[in-house]
Amino acid sequence: MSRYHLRLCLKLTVLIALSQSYQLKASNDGSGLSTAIAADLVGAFNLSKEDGGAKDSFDVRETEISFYAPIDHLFEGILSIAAHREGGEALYEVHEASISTSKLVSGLSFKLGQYFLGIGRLNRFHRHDWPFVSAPKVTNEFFGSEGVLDSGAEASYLFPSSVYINLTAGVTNGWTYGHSHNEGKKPKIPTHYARLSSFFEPADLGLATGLSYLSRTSAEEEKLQLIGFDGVAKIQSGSFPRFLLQTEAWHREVTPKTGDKSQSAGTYVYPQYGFSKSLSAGCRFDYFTVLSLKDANGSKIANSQYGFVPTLTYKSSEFASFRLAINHETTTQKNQDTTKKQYAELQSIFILGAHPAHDF
Amino acid sequence: MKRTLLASVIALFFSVAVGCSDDDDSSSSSSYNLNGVSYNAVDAGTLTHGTTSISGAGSIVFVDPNAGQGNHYSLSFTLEDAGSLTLTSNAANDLTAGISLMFSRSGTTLTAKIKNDSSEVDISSSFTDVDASGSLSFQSDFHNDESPTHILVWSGVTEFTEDNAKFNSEDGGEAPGQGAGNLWGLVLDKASVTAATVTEAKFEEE
Repeated sequence: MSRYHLRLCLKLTVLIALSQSYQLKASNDGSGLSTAIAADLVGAFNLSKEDGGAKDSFDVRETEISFYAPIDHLFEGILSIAAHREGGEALYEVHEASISTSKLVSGLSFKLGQYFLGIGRLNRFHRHDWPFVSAPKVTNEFFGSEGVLDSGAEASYLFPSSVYINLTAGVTNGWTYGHSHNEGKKPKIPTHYARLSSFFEPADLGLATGLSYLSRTSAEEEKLQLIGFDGVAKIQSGSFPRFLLQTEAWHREVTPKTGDKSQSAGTYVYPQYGFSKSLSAGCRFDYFTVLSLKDANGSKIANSQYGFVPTLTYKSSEFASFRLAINHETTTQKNQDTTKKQYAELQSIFILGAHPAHDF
Repeated sequence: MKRTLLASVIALFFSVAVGCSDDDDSSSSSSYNLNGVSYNAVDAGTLTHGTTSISGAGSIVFVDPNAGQGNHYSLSFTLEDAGSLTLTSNAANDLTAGISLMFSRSGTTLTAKIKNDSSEVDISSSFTDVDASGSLSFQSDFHNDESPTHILVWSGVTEFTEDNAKFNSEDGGEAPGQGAGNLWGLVLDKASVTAATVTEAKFEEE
């Protein structure tokens, strides 16, 4: 066992011991504190002699411990701490620390704290709950490898109608956006976003869709705008989804203080078939392009990155799963050689303790 | 008759002018190539263009843009005394709005800086073991999808890790921002460049 893994195990042991002591105390005073620990283990291995971009190693990609409970008769709280491997060391950070309520105003829920922003599909779920191993290209480019989180306030309102229509809107600090290793700077306009979503359930089909918008103007007066669509369709067969179709499509525009505007767009589509409650197979299709790419002469340059990722998932229960994915990525750009990458990913996820219920 | 002729000439002039104009911002002059990679002169200065080297003083921008925000550059060059070479990444076609890595020579001492249009950071302490009077060869990653741009510099390695980097901006010498474009180029001053290539970033963030 490497020194990194030994230190990680020791830290997790301390955290588990602490959580168990809290749980004992909680069970004594009836506070209802729940604890969940999730471990996401991923290996990536090149399938060709050329560099496929994989590390050829198996690592603990992430571990997460979550505490959640009712705080009092009105509010609920969640604290989620995650460890990621960076520079060979376990880097601990708070993923979520928020207080929320849905009991003040009928149909209105409100959250204050640090959280993953309520836009799109993947960004609203922890990475270990995704139906595939790694982020699609468009998600990685626009939201980072595990999504965008920030501190602020978010409200969600369910309209009183016969049709399910929900509006989520939020404002967060926006000092940073995406992968950053410093505190960032106070933006000219903080990050603000909204998502309008709906849900339909004709017969055995469940269909959830959403339209999202996000914007931010950095301290350097660079304006970021994102607009996207997300959709999930499920056909249930008893207690498991016989068929799942998940997709997102996003457009991003970045306008610097001086210089040309940059526009990019991308999408993924993931159909999955459930053979049984334990076994499912899917194949994700990815596409990404920089729409505004020009050469030094000002001529537009056609470019694209596309890929398909066949994925096989085995779940012994909702608490343990194993996944195999084969990534085929192709990058094309005018005047340049087409590059291809092929690598395999192996994933194992396990959850200890209770896990919060998920959205559809 | 004369008025009709004049009006016809003016109309013909404008129709030719409109027909020939396009939205392209062709601000660069004729193309050259370095080892098969095409570039334009931004500032022709006193540059001498050969197919295997560029030397003198001036600036160039490589024609093909980088679609990705993570790029790896390999440079081989020599500097005359008081000379310098600046690699600019993620820039506009006039090399503004980018993020730069600059090397300059004073005797055998190599000075290195990370710069943008408005500020610079001295990172020379990472290069005190380099003899600036000889042939110089560096490889660098610019991860422009991070804020600020994450820059690593290596020399003489075949595997690119944080541990064997001569310089890592996350360990001190933080870059003064990010680049805003997709083009890259070089600014030479009493320098001679024999190799300049770009590929996808070599160091993979965990």
